[in-house]
Amino acid sequence: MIKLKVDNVSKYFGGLTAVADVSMHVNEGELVGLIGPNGAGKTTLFNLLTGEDEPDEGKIIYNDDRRAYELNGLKPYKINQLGLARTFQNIRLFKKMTVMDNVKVAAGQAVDYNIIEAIVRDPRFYKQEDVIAAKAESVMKMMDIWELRNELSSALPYGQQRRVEIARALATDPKILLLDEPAAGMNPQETKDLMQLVRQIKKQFKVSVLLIEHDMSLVMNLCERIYVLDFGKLIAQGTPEEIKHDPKVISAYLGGE
Amino acid sequence: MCLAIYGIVAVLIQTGLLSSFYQITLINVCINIVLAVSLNLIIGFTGQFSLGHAGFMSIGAYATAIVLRMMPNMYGLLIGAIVGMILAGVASLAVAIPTLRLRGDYLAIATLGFSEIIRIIMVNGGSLTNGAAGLSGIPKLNDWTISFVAVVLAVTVVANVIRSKAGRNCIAIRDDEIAAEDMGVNTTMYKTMAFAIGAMLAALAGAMYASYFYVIKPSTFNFNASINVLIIVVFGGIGSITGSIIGSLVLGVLTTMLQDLAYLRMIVYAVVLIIIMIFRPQGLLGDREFSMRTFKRWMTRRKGTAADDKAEG
Repeated sequence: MIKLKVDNVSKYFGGLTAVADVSMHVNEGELVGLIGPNGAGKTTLFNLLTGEDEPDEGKIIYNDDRRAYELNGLKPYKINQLGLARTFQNIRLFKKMTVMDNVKVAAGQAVDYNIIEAIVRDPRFYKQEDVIAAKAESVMKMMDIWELRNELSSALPYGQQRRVEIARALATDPKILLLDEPAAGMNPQETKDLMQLVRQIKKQFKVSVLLIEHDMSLVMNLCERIYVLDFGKLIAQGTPEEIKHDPKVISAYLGGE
Repeated sequence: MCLAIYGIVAVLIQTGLLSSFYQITLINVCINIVLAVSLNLIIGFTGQFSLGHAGFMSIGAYATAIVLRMMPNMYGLLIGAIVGMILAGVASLAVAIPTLRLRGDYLAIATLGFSEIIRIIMVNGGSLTNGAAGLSGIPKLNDWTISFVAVVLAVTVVANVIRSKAGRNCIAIRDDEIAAEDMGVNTTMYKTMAFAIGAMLAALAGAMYASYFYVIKPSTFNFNASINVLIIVVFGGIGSITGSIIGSLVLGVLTTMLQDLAYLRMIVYAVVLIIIMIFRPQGLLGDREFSMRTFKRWMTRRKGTAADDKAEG
């Protein structure tokens, strides 16, 4: 079943065409890679998917189990509530909050109590806060950051900040997880661990994963299908094996003759 | 501990040890605590730079004064304060919805403009607000007990909001608005909420002011008044409730102590502020909170090191 469908989407910034007529889809439980040289429009496409930017042309459709939603023009928080969660290329954690609170912000969105209940501390407040804490705990244990829960998120090393960011995204209960260069700045061992982790997440949380990555070994090993963007255009798609031998991809990455 | 503070001060007032001069300082400190704590919710925890606090305060003050004119008793004060808070809440929504999409400096200018609009309305309010001369002869109903209750109320509300889902959302917005929105936080709603709660508590401070100082006039609630609250917040620590309380206390006592210095007063005041900002740019408490638990931990750690020293010696 197709969870996410991008239909002939374009985005212009002034005279620059950042994304040109791109169509793609992500199936349920699939691990899809999005690659391309720097400035190819990968992150712009992510921003369109999560609602930070609106496409100038085309449609983005998200399929729930029950119905289809058009994501164009929806606010990012609405899109998140529908089931898309992302991480950022340059980590965007809540710097002055603890790791625990970072995850709790995300875990809290599905839990409902109003501000009056918080001010008078009524029993429902405590009950709902317990639900949030329990959910944060389970995600953090899974991501192996439970020991860091009381650390300030900005005090952590890079690799762990990435883990916190993924945990935070997972705590919103996504159906599709969008990872923007999760391996950036990681050493080969950390990258290997990350691959393992992504596979595990996919299985345990039953999510589809769409990831942007520069690390070819990671993309080729991990992804079931790959889309290649260059100058905003989709130049190739297929299995890792097909992509590896696609002449257009090779010329985009290594430069044509 | 709250009750202990209340009791001690009440006894001091009863026995006449705290002269009426110092009582004015005391009530002023209480009013400033309510103002600073509520502004801290907007600036320190939600990261929205607002310079309109005096405007909301004046709404509370005028509402209280006008209601008290009709019913000069405790019910009047209560109703006046509530009416003022509701009006301030409505006004804050009217300001928030168009301006909260602005950021940083732009928001500061917009809120500043708003509080000036309020002031001009008060000046031109005809017989209801009595123009630039303001309202006088307001019955003095506010005392230590009422002020103390108001302070406890304001601090409790802000502290409980901060330590809840709403508070985490606000802090997340402060730290990274884009990430917060992507994690499902309705940023507009939570910014508006923080703004409205802050404005309502500022109106409460206005009610306290009107029912203690007999007279209110538009010029009391000018730009300077907003800046004064901002100074307390920055001085005590942006993002620290206890910082705002301690900031109000220290600056209140300082102003009283410098009363005799006449012209030198503002200079010494400024120098103290500059010194604090040089040596503790994050404010007295930074974004930490002072609690009995941290105090005890700090004490035991000191005792611990002292004991270690002895053992080694």
